[in-house]
Amino acid sequence: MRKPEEKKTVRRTVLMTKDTDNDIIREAKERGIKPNAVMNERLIHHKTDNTPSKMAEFQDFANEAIRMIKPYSEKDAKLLERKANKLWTF
Amino acid sequence: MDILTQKRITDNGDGAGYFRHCVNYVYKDKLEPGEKRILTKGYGVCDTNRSHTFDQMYGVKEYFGKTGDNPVMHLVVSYDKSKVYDAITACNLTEIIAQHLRKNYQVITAVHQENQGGSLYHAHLVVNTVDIYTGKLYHSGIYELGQLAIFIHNLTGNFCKTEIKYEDPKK
Repeated sequence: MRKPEEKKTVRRTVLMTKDTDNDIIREAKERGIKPNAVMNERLIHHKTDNTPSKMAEFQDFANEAIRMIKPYSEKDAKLLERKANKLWTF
Repeated sequence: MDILTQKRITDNGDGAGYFRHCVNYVYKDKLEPGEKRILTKGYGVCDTNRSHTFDQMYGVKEYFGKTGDNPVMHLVVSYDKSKVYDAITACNLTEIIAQHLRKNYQVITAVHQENQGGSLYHAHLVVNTVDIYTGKLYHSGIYELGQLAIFIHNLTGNFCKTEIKYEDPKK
């Protein structure tokens, strides 16, 4: 067993409303992950609404748009490519 | 017979070297002699700029804090030349396989034309091992490879043989 100072994680008790707790449990169930992972994700990425799944979907649209515009304007396609990539922030 | 090969070359520094190599490879025009790139297409990831592709895949890893594990899965599907003898069919089949993987992972594919004896076209599928919904790592075992082979078999109607290629220790 690891010594307390060697542990990579800390244990902290957090109080929350029943609604928040239910929401975390529901999301964990939906995504097939642990409630602990949902809580950590919400804490770490609280500044943005972007998630990998949303961004991947967005990028599929961007790829399609770039493919459509490319035969007409290489320059605009490059601009679109750059602008789409800029939105990849978490 | 189609052949599904999984390249297991992860021991390249922290793995990022091989990850970058795979991303660069799908964009490469000058391949082996007699080999030609037909199409590069991304699913959930940019497919026109290799640097963006790498950054977007790495961004997902960072989001879930999974930067240190097996970074990439490199699959190669060699289509039997009796059924796949034109580029359009090869691209369409690759699209369906990629869409199947895209449900949970970012994928970038490259279809290459090369006469390998039994196959005229093959596709490289570079898959980000981190699930975009759960952050869980893709378990690249024999079972998962077999399941993908069954999917390809159902798609093409050919028996799909699986192979795992490890890094050449002499290199």
